Amino acid sequence: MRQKYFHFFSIIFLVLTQFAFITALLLEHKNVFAVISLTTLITALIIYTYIKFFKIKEVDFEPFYVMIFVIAGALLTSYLHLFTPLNSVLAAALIGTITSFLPNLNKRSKVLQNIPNAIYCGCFVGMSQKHVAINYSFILIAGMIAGIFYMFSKNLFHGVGGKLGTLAFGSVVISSLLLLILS
Amino acid sequence: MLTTISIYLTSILGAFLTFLVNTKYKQGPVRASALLTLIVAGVCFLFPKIFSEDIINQIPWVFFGSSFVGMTSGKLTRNYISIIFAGIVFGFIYTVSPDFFNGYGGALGTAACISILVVIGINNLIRLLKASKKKKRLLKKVVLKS
Repeated sequence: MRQKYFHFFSIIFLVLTQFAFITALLLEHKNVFAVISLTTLITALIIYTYIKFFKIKEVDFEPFYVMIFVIAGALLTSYLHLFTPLNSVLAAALIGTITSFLPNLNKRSKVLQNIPNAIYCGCFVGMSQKHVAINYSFILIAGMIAGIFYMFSKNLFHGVGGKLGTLAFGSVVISSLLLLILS
Repeated sequence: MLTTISIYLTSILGAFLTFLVNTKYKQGPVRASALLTLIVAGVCFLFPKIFSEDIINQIPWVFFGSSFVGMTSGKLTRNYISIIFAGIVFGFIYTVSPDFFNGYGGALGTAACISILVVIGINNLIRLLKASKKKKRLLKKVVLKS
C-alpha cells in the first residue's frame, strides 16, 4: 500500500517537471503568436498521451544500490567538465560510452546490467554549468534526489527516450530551489 | 537562417541515427546515444574550423539532445517517419527553449521527452481515426447486405 504512494509521488514529479519547462517557455515567448499556438498544441497532445497511454499494471522498484551509481556518475561528469578542457557534452558522452561496455564483462550478473542507465542518469545531473551547480555538495544532493526518483520510477515511462533527462532536470531544479530557500 | 537550418538537420539526423543503432544494430540505448555523441562532439572539438563558429558551438548540444529521442524503444514507435518527426519537434523546442533554465543539467532530456510524448500521442490519434473509418466501412457493408 505504501509503495503506491511513492509511485504516485514520482508520477507527479515527472509531470510537474515537464510542465515547469513548458511554463518557462511560454513566459519567455508570450509575444510570439506562432510559438504560443504551437506550444499549446504540444501541451494538449502531451496531456492526451498521459491519460491514454500510461496505465501502470504493477508497481515495481529498482534495487537500492542504483542510487550510488547515479551519484557516482554525477560526481565523475562534473569533475571531468570542470577540471579538464573537455566540455560537458564530451564528458557525459565519454562516461556513457565507457559504462555501456560494462555489462559485457559478466552477462549473468544483475548488478552490472543495471549500471549503464543509472550512471547515464547521473551524467545529466553532472552536466550542470558552474553558475547552477556551485559546489560538490550541490551535485551530491541533486544526485541523491535523482537517484531516489530513479529507484521509484522503474515501470514509469518505460522505453520513452528522455526519461532519465527529465529525472535529472527535476532533481537539479528542486535542489536549486532548496539552495534558494536555505541561503 | 543557416544556423536554424543546421539545427533542424542535426536534430533529425541525431534522432534517426541513434534509433537505427539502438534498434536495428541492437547496441542498446545508452551505447547508441553516447557513442554517436562522442564521435560528433569529438570531431567538433578537434576541428573547430569546419563550419562557422555559431554552428560549431550549437551542434554538439543539439546532437546530444536529439540522440535522447532515438533512445526510445522500438515497441513504442515502430516506423522511422515518427522518429524523424520527433526530431523536427525537438528542433523546434530547442530553438525556443527558455533561457531561464540555461545551464541546468537535463533540460535537453526534458525537451526530448516532450517531443517523443507528442509523437506517441499523434500516432495514437491516427490509429484511432483509421479504426473508426474501418468500423464505418464494415457497418455500411452489413447494412447493404441486409
